[in-house]
Amino acid sequence: MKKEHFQITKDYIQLNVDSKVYSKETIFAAGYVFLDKAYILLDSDKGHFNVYLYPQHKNSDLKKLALDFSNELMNYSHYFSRAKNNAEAIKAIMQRALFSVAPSLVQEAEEKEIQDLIKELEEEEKNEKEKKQLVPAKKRKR
Amino acid sequence: MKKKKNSSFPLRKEKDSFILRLNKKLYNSDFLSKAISEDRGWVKEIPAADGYFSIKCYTLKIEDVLRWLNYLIYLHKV
Repeated sequence: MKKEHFQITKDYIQLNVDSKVYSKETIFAAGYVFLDKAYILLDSDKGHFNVYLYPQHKNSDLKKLALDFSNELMNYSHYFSRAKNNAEAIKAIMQRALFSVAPSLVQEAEEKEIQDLIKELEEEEKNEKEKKQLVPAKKRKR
Repeated sequence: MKKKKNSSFPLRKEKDSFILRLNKKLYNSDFLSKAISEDRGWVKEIPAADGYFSIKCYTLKIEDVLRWLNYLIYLHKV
């Protein structure tokens, strides 16, 4: 049976939020924004979160409160997914910004990178030499 | 018609207090302990079924309990 998204009572409105769509973090983030508008009680049950909103001000429109809360859920859900997708780009920009403040760090990072590359090449060369030495030895045995 | 009692509702009124049933998957135990320790005078944790924290709030005003719940939300976000 499909559950209603909102259930209004005399004292509060209950929102049923699908946990596959919105994370716990998103619910807490939206709740934080609502701290001065509503009292928030949370519960969880078989694949969905129950959010109970008690209005802080008399004559509040409960349905409007719930719809505003839903909008806030959407807002934070988008924010978190965008932050996740852009994490690499943000990291690169931050590094570039930090390096621009201290240019010596760039030089150090470049030198380290060069050293690593040289080390890698030397190891490859060494491995190839070892392989070449092994092949004639096998041939001689024959 | 007699109104059916909702036993799964996480907030229950008793004679001199309110009982909160908070889901362990949602509420962090560290934040809960911090909030309880700050309001030791009227908030106490009592034994509960698996998967839940049971909190007894010695007050007759529901607003006190709801305000305390909002403080928990605040702790979780910060």
